[in-house]
Amino acid sequence: MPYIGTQPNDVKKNTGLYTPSEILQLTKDGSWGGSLELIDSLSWTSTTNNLEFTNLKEDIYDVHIIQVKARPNGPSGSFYYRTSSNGGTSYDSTTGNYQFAVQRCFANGTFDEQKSNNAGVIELYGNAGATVQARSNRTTYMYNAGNPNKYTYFTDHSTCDNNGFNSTFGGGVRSSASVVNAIQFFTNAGGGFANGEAFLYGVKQI
Amino acid sequence: MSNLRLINETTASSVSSVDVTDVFSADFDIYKISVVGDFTNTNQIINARFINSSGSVVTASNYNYAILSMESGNLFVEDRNQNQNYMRRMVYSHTGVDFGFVLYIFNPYSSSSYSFLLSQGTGAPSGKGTSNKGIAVLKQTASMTGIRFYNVDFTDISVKCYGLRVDS
Repeated sequence: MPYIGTQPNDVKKNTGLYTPSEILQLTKDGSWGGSLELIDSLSWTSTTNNLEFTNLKEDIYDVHIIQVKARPNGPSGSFYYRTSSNGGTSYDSTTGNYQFAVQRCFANGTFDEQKSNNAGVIELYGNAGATVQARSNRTTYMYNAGNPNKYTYFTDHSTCDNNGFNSTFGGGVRSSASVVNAIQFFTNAGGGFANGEAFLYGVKQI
Repeated sequence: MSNLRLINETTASSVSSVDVTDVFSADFDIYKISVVGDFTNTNQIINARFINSSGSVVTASNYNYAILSMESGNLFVEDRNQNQNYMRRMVYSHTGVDFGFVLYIFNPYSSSSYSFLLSQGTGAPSGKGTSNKGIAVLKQTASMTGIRFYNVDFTDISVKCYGLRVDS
Protein backbone atom coordinates (compact mmCIF):
# COMPACT_ATOMS: atom_id res chain seq x y z
CA MET A 1 0.00 0.00 0.00
CA PRO A 2 2.59 2.60 -0.99
CA TYR A 3 0.04 5.12 -2.19
CA ILE A 4 -3.62 5.42 -1.40
CA GLY A 5 -4.93 8.00 -3.82
CA THR A 6 -7.41 10.79 -3.34
CA GLN A 7 -8.66 11.00 0.22
CA PRO A 8 -12.24 12.09 0.90
CA ASN A 9 -11.17 14.31 3.78
CA ASP A 10 -8.35 16.12 2.03
CA VAL A 11 -8.78 19.85 2.28
CA LYS A 12 -6.35 20.61 -0.51
CA LYS A 13 -5.68 19.00 -3.82
CA ASN A 14 -2.29 17.65 -4.71
CA THR A 15 -1.14 17.09 -1.15
CA GLY A 16 -0.70 13.33 -0.95
CA LEU A 17 -2.08 13.39 2.60
CA TYR A 18 -2.64 10.26 4.68
CA THR A 19 -4.99 9.49 7.54
CA PRO A 20 -3.54 8.10 10.81
CA SER A 21 -4.88 4.63 10.08
CA GLU A 22 -3.26 4.67 6.67
CA ILE A 23 0.03 5.76 8.20
CA LEU A 24 -0.15 2.81 10.59
CA GLN A 25 -0.83 0.45 7.69
CA LEU A 26 2.01 1.90 5.65
CA THR A 27 4.35 1.58 8.63
CA LYS A 28 3.41 -2.09 9.00
CA ASP A 29 4.05 -2.59 5.31
CA GLY A 30 7.44 -0.90 5.56
CA SER A 31 6.38 1.76 3.08
CA TRP A 32 6.09 4.72 5.44
CA GLY A 33 8.90 7.24 5.52
CA GLY A 34 8.72 8.53 2.00
CA SER A 35 10.40 7.17 -1.04
CA LEU A 36 13.93 8.30 -0.28
CA GLU A 37 15.93 6.76 2.53
CA LEU A 38 18.84 8.76 3.86
CA ILE A 39 21.46 6.01 4.04
CA ASP A 40 24.44 8.05 5.18
CA SER A 41 25.67 11.62 5.50
CA LEU A 42 29.10 13.23 5.81
CA SER A 43 30.03 16.62 7.25
CA TRP A 44 33.49 18.03 7.73
CA THR A 45 35.14 21.34 8.63
CA SER A 46 38.83 20.55 8.11
CA THR A 47 40.69 19.39 5.05
CA THR A 48 39.36 16.08 3.79
CA ASN A 49 40.83 14.45 0.73
CA ASN A 50 38.28 11.79 -0.09
CA LEU A 51 34.59 11.58 0.62
CA GLU A 52 33.65 7.94 0.91
CA PHE A 53 30.36 6.15 1.32
CA THR A 54 31.07 2.57 2.34
CA ASN A 55 27.53 1.49 3.17
CA LEU A 56 25.41 1.80 0.02
CA LYS A 57 22.72 -0.76 0.88
CA GLU A 58 23.18 -1.79 -2.72
CA ASP A 59 21.37 -5.05 -2.02
CA ILE A 60 18.21 -3.03 -1.36
CA TYR A 61 18.39 -0.11 -3.78
CA ASP A 62 19.01 -0.16 -7.51
CA VAL A 63 18.86 3.63 -7.78
CA HIS A 64 20.79 5.99 -5.47
CA ILE A 65 21.02 9.77 -5.19
CA ILE A 66 24.22 11.45 -4.01
CA GLN A 67 24.23 15.12 -3.08
CA VAL A 68 27.49 16.98 -2.41
CA LYS A 69 27.95 20.57 -1.27
CA ALA A 70 31.69 21.05 -0.83
CA ARG A 71 34.31 23.78 -0.99
CA PRO A 72 37.74 22.73 -2.27
CA ASN A 73 40.94 24.08 -0.75
CA GLY A 74 41.94 25.64 -4.04
CA PRO A 75 40.32 26.88 -7.22
CA SER A 76 40.04 25.52 -10.73
CA GLY A 77 40.17 21.83 -10.07
CA SER A 78 37.95 19.01 -11.14
CA PHE A 79 35.85 16.42 -9.33
CA TYR A 80 35.86 12.64 -9.61
CA TYR A 81 34.09 9.41 -8.66
CA ARG A 82 35.66 6.03 -8.17
CA THR A 83 33.99 2.79 -7.16
CA SER A 84 34.92 -0.08 -4.89
CA SER A 85 33.86 -3.70 -4.88
CA ASN A 86 35.42 -4.55 -1.52
CA GLY A 87 33.59 -2.17 0.76
CA GLY A 88 36.07 0.67 0.38
CA THR A 89 39.25 -1.21 1.22
CA SER A 90 40.46 -0.09 -2.19
CA TYR A 91 38.98 1.86 -5.09
CA ASP A 92 39.22 0.75 -8.69
CA SER A 93 41.48 3.02 -10.76
CA THR A 94 42.08 0.63 -13.66
CA THR A 95 42.40 2.51 -16.93
CA GLY A 96 39.60 1.43 -19.21
CA ASN A 97 37.14 0.57 -16.46
CA TYR A 98 35.41 3.95 -16.63
CA GLN A 99 33.93 6.21 -19.29
CA PHE A 100 32.40 9.67 -18.99
CA ALA A 101 30.94 12.48 -21.07
CA VAL A 102 30.17 15.91 -19.66
CA GLN A 103 28.97 19.24 -21.01
CA ARG A 104 30.49 22.24 -19.23
CA CYS A 105 28.56 25.54 -19.29
CA PHE A 106 30.29 28.78 -18.31
CA ALA A 107 28.34 31.99 -17.82
CA ASN A 108 31.04 33.89 -19.70
CA GLY A 109 29.83 32.15 -22.83
CA THR A 110 32.09 29.13 -23.15
CA PHE A 111 30.44 25.72 -23.52
CA ASP A 112 32.62 22.68 -24.09
CA GLU A 113 32.61 18.90 -24.21
CA GLN A 114 34.70 16.71 -21.92
CA LYS A 115 34.82 12.97 -22.47
CA SER A 116 36.82 9.76 -22.33
CA ASN A 117 36.02 6.14 -23.13
CA ASN A 118 39.22 4.81 -21.61
CA ALA A 119 39.53 6.34 -18.18
CA GLY A 120 40.59 5.21 -14.72
CA VAL A 121 38.07 7.46 -13.01
CA ILE A 122 34.76 9.18 -13.74
CA GLU A 123 35.59 12.87 -14.09
CA LEU A 124 32.57 15.11 -13.74
CA TYR A 125 34.16 18.57 -13.69
CA GLY A 126 32.63 21.64 -12.06
CA ASN A 127 34.89 24.63 -11.70
CA ALA A 128 34.58 25.60 -8.04
CA GLY A 129 36.56 28.24 -6.22
CA ALA A 130 38.15 28.28 -2.80
CA THR A 131 36.17 31.19 -1.39
CA VAL A 132 33.41 30.59 1.10
CA GLN A 133 30.59 31.18 -1.33
CA ALA A 134 32.16 29.27 -4.21
CA ARG A 135 31.22 25.72 -3.32
CA SER A 136 30.56 22.93 -5.74
CA ASN A 137 26.96 21.77 -5.48
CA ARG A 138 25.96 18.62 -7.28
CA THR A 139 23.37 15.88 -7.47
CA THR A 140 24.28 12.48 -8.89
CA TYR A 141 22.09 9.52 -9.71
CA MET A 142 23.68 6.06 -9.58
CA TYR A 143 22.08 2.97 -11.14
CA ASN A 144 22.59 -0.80 -10.69
CA ALA A 145 25.32 -0.63 -8.02
CA GLY A 146 24.31 -3.91 -6.43
CA ASN A 147 24.01 -6.03 -9.54
CA PRO A 148 27.16 -8.09 -10.30
CA ASN A 149 26.10 -8.54 -13.92
CA LYS A 150 25.39 -4.92 -14.80
CA TYR A 151 27.44 -1.81 -15.37
CA THR A 152 27.03 0.91 -12.75
CA TYR A 153 25.86 4.13 -14.36
CA PHE A 154 25.96 7.72 -13.14
CA THR A 155 24.24 10.90 -14.27
CA ASP A 156 25.30 14.18 -12.71
CA HIS A 157 24.40 17.85 -12.65
CA SER A 158 26.45 20.48 -10.82
CA THR A 159 26.54 24.21 -10.27
CA CYS A 160 29.41 26.23 -8.85
CA ASP A 161 31.40 29.42 -9.05
CA ASN A 162 35.03 30.30 -9.63
CA ASN A 163 35.15 33.99 -10.45
CA GLY A 164 32.23 33.27 -12.73
CA PHE A 165 29.25 30.95 -12.61
CA ASN A 166 29.47 27.60 -14.29
CA SER A 167 27.48 24.40 -14.37
CA THR A 168 27.95 20.89 -15.71
CA PHE A 169 25.75 18.02 -16.71
CA GLY A 170 26.58 14.59 -18.01
CA GLY A 171 27.52 11.26 -16.57
CA GLY A 172 29.71 8.23 -16.60
CA VAL A 173 29.80 4.50 -16.26
CA ARG A 174 31.88 1.85 -14.60
CA SER A 175 32.02 -0.30 -17.70
CA SER A 176 33.19 -3.37 -15.87
CA ALA A 177 30.30 -5.33 -14.44
CA SER A 178 30.71 -5.84 -10.71
CA VAL A 179 28.93 -5.15 -7.47
CA VAL A 180 29.74 -1.61 -6.38
CA ASN A 181 29.51 -1.43 -2.59
CA ALA A 182 31.44 1.78 -1.88
CA ILE A 183 32.08 5.02 -3.73
CA GLN A 184 34.71 7.71 -3.39
CA PHE A 185 34.36 11.36 -4.41
CA PHE A 186 37.45 13.57 -4.56
CA THR A 187 38.98 16.68 -6.09
CA ASN A 188 42.36 17.77 -7.36
CA ALA A 189 41.68 21.38 -6.41
CA GLY A 190 44.02 22.47 -3.65
CA GLY A 191 44.59 19.09 -2.12
CA GLY A 192 41.12 18.26 -0.91
CA PHE A 193 37.92 19.72 0.44
CA ALA A 194 38.05 22.44 3.07
CA ASN A 195 34.52 21.90 4.30
CA GLY A 196 31.13 20.77 3.22
CA GLU A 197 28.59 18.02 3.50
CA ALA A 198 27.40 15.08 1.44
CA PHE A 199 24.34 12.85 1.52
CA LEU A 200 23.58 9.41 0.16
CA TYR A 201 19.98 8.37 -0.45
CA GLY A 202 18.40 5.16 -1.65
CA VAL A 203 15.37 5.47 -3.86
CA LYS A 204 12.87 3.26 -2.14
CA GLN A 205 11.16 0.38 -3.84
CA ILE A 206 7.74 -1.02 -3.05
CA MET B 1 9.51 11.98 5.51
CA SER B 2 10.35 12.90 1.98
CA ASN B 3 7.97 14.60 -0.40
CA LEU B 4 7.99 11.75 -2.87
CA ARG B 5 4.99 9.45 -2.93
CA LEU B 6 5.56 6.13 -4.62
CA ILE B 7 2.48 5.68 -6.79
CA ASN B 8 3.28 2.66 -8.88
CA GLU B 9 5.98 0.21 -9.88
CA THR B 10 5.71 -1.49 -13.25
CA THR B 11 8.06 -4.31 -14.18
CA ALA B 12 8.14 -6.34 -17.38
CA SER B 13 10.38 -8.65 -19.35
CA SER B 14 10.54 -9.70 -23.00
CA VAL B 15 8.25 -6.93 -24.20
CA SER B 16 8.54 -4.32 -26.95
CA SER B 17 6.79 -1.52 -25.04
CA VAL B 18 5.77 -0.73 -21.50
CA ASP B 19 2.66 1.22 -20.56
CA VAL B 20 2.56 2.88 -17.16
CA THR B 21 -1.13 3.61 -16.73
CA ASP B 22 -3.36 5.43 -14.26
CA VAL B 23 -0.51 7.14 -12.45
CA PHE B 24 -1.16 10.81 -13.20
CA SER B 25 -4.13 12.27 -11.36
CA ALA B 26 -5.43 15.42 -9.74
CA ASP B 27 -3.47 14.47 -6.60
CA PHE B 28 -0.15 15.77 -7.92
CA ASP B 29 1.10 18.33 -10.41
CA ILE B 30 4.68 17.04 -10.71
CA TYR B 31 5.83 13.45 -11.11
CA LYS B 32 9.19 11.75 -10.99
CA ILE B 33 9.76 8.51 -12.86
CA SER B 34 12.89 6.38 -12.48
CA VAL B 35 13.59 3.57 -14.94
CA VAL B 36 16.24 0.83 -15.12
CA GLY B 37 16.46 -2.10 -17.50
CA ASP B 38 18.08 -3.71 -20.50
CA PHE B 39 17.14 -4.57 -24.07
CA THR B 40 18.00 -7.08 -26.74
CA ASN B 41 19.40 -5.10 -29.66
CA THR B 42 22.45 -3.00 -30.33
CA ASN B 43 22.49 0.79 -30.02
CA GLN B 44 18.84 1.50 -29.41
CA ILE B 45 16.99 4.63 -28.35
CA ILE B 46 13.99 4.48 -26.03
CA ASN B 47 11.18 6.85 -26.99
CA ALA B 48 8.02 7.79 -25.13
CA ARG B 49 4.42 8.83 -25.68
CA PHE B 50 1.78 9.97 -23.24
CA ILE B 51 -1.40 7.99 -22.59
CA ASN B 52 -4.56 10.07 -22.29
CA SER B 53 -7.46 9.77 -19.88
CA SER B 54 -9.30 7.52 -22.33
CA GLY B 55 -6.43 5.08 -22.17
CA SER B 56 -5.25 5.82 -25.70
CA VAL B 57 -1.62 6.37 -26.58
CA VAL B 58 -1.24 9.87 -28.00
CA THR B 59 0.26 9.61 -31.48
CA ALA B 60 -0.73 13.02 -32.80
CA SER B 61 2.11 15.15 -34.17
CA ASN B 62 2.03 17.53 -31.24
CA TYR B 63 5.31 16.69 -29.54
CA ASN B 64 8.42 18.87 -29.52
CA TYR B 65 11.72 17.71 -28.06
CA ALA B 66 15.36 18.71 -27.68
CA ILE B 67 18.10 16.50 -26.29
CA LEU B 68 21.85 16.77 -25.89
CA SER B 69 23.42 13.33 -26.11
CA MET B 70 26.90 13.22 -24.61
CA GLU B 71 28.91 10.26 -25.84
CA SER B 72 32.28 9.43 -24.30
CA GLY B 73 33.71 8.24 -27.60
CA ASN B 74 32.00 10.50 -30.13
CA LEU B 75 30.91 14.04 -30.78
CA PHE B 76 28.06 15.30 -28.66
CA VAL B 77 24.78 15.21 -30.55
CA GLU B 78 21.91 17.70 -30.50
CA ASP B 79 18.72 15.80 -31.25
CA ARG B 80 15.70 18.09 -31.63
CA ASN B 81 12.51 18.36 -33.60
CA GLN B 82 9.03 19.84 -33.61
CA ASN B 83 5.57 18.51 -34.43
CA GLN B 84 6.56 14.89 -34.00
CA ASN B 85 4.35 12.01 -32.90
CA TYR B 86 6.64 10.92 -30.06
CA MET B 87 9.21 12.13 -27.53
CA ARG B 88 12.64 10.92 -28.51
CA ARG B 89 15.67 9.55 -26.71
CA MET B 90 14.81 8.99 -23.07
CA VAL B 91 18.09 7.07 -23.11
CA TYR B 92 20.51 5.57 -25.64
CA SER B 93 22.17 2.25 -24.84
CA HIS B 94 23.14 -1.22 -25.98
CA THR B 95 22.07 -4.77 -25.33
CA GLY B 96 23.62 -6.42 -22.31
CA VAL B 97 24.89 -3.26 -20.66
CA ASP B 98 21.63 -1.86 -19.26
CA PHE B 99 20.47 1.71 -18.90
CA GLY B 100 18.96 4.11 -16.37
CA PHE B 101 17.02 7.33 -16.64
CA VAL B 102 14.94 9.72 -14.59
CA LEU B 103 12.08 11.87 -15.83
CA TYR B 104 10.23 14.78 -14.29
CA ILE B 105 6.78 15.39 -15.76
CA PHE B 106 4.83 18.57 -15.16
CA ASN B 107 1.04 19.05 -15.28
CA PRO B 108 0.20 15.89 -17.22
CA TYR B 109 -3.28 15.58 -15.73
CA SER B 110 -4.24 19.21 -16.26
CA SER B 111 -6.65 19.75 -19.12
CA SER B 112 -5.72 23.40 -19.33
CA SER B 113 -1.95 23.19 -19.76
CA TYR B 114 0.56 21.36 -21.91
CA SER B 115 2.40 18.32 -20.50
CA PHE B 116 6.13 18.97 -20.07
CA LEU B 117 8.95 16.50 -19.54
CA LEU B 118 12.59 16.69 -18.39
CA SER B 119 14.82 13.68 -19.01
CA GLN B 120 18.24 12.62 -17.74
CA GLY B 121 19.61 9.24 -18.74
CA THR B 122 22.72 7.12 -19.07
CA GLY B 123 23.64 4.05 -21.13
CA ALA B 124 26.49 2.60 -23.17
CA PRO B 125 25.83 2.34 -26.95
CA SER B 126 28.66 0.36 -28.60
CA GLY B 127 30.13 0.03 -25.15
CA LYS B 128 30.77 3.77 -24.91
CA GLY B 129 29.34 5.50 -21.86
CA THR B 130 26.72 8.03 -22.89
CA SER B 131 24.56 10.49 -21.00
CA ASN B 132 21.66 12.53 -22.26
CA LYS B 133 19.67 15.44 -20.98
CA GLY B 134 16.51 16.61 -22.65
CA ILE B 135 13.22 18.43 -22.67
CA ALA B 136 9.93 17.63 -24.36
CA VAL B 137 6.40 18.90 -24.48
CA LEU B 138 3.06 17.55 -25.65
CA LYS B 139 1.24 20.58 -27.02
CA GLN B 140 -2.23 19.42 -26.12
CA THR B 141 -4.43 20.85 -23.40
CA ALA B 142 -5.74 17.43 -22.53
CA SER B 143 -5.55 15.22 -19.48
CA MET B 144 -2.83 12.54 -19.53
CA THR B 145 -2.89 9.63 -17.09
CA GLY B 146 0.09 7.55 -18.15
CA ILE B 147 3.14 7.13 -20.35
CA ARG B 148 4.43 4.52 -22.81
CA PHE B 149 8.10 3.60 -23.31
CA TYR B 150 8.81 1.86 -26.61
CA ASN B 151 11.05 1.47 -29.67
CA VAL B 152 13.16 -1.37 -28.28
CA ASP B 153 12.69 -4.99 -27.25
CA PHE B 154 13.15 -4.93 -23.50
CA THR B 155 14.68 -7.95 -21.84
CA ASP B 156 13.66 -6.40 -18.55
CA ILE B 157 12.47 -3.03 -17.35
CA SER B 158 11.45 -1.54 -14.00
CA VAL B 159 9.56 1.75 -13.85
CA LYS B 160 8.82 3.53 -10.59
CA CYS B 161 6.49 6.54 -10.59
CA TYR B 162 6.39 9.05 -7.75
CA GLY B 163 4.21 12.06 -7.05
CA LEU B 164 5.78 15.16 -5.52
CA ARG B 165 3.72 16.04 -2.48
CA VAL B 166 2.88 19.71 -1.86
CA ASP B 167 2.42 20.84 1.74
CA SER B 168 0.63 24.11 1.21
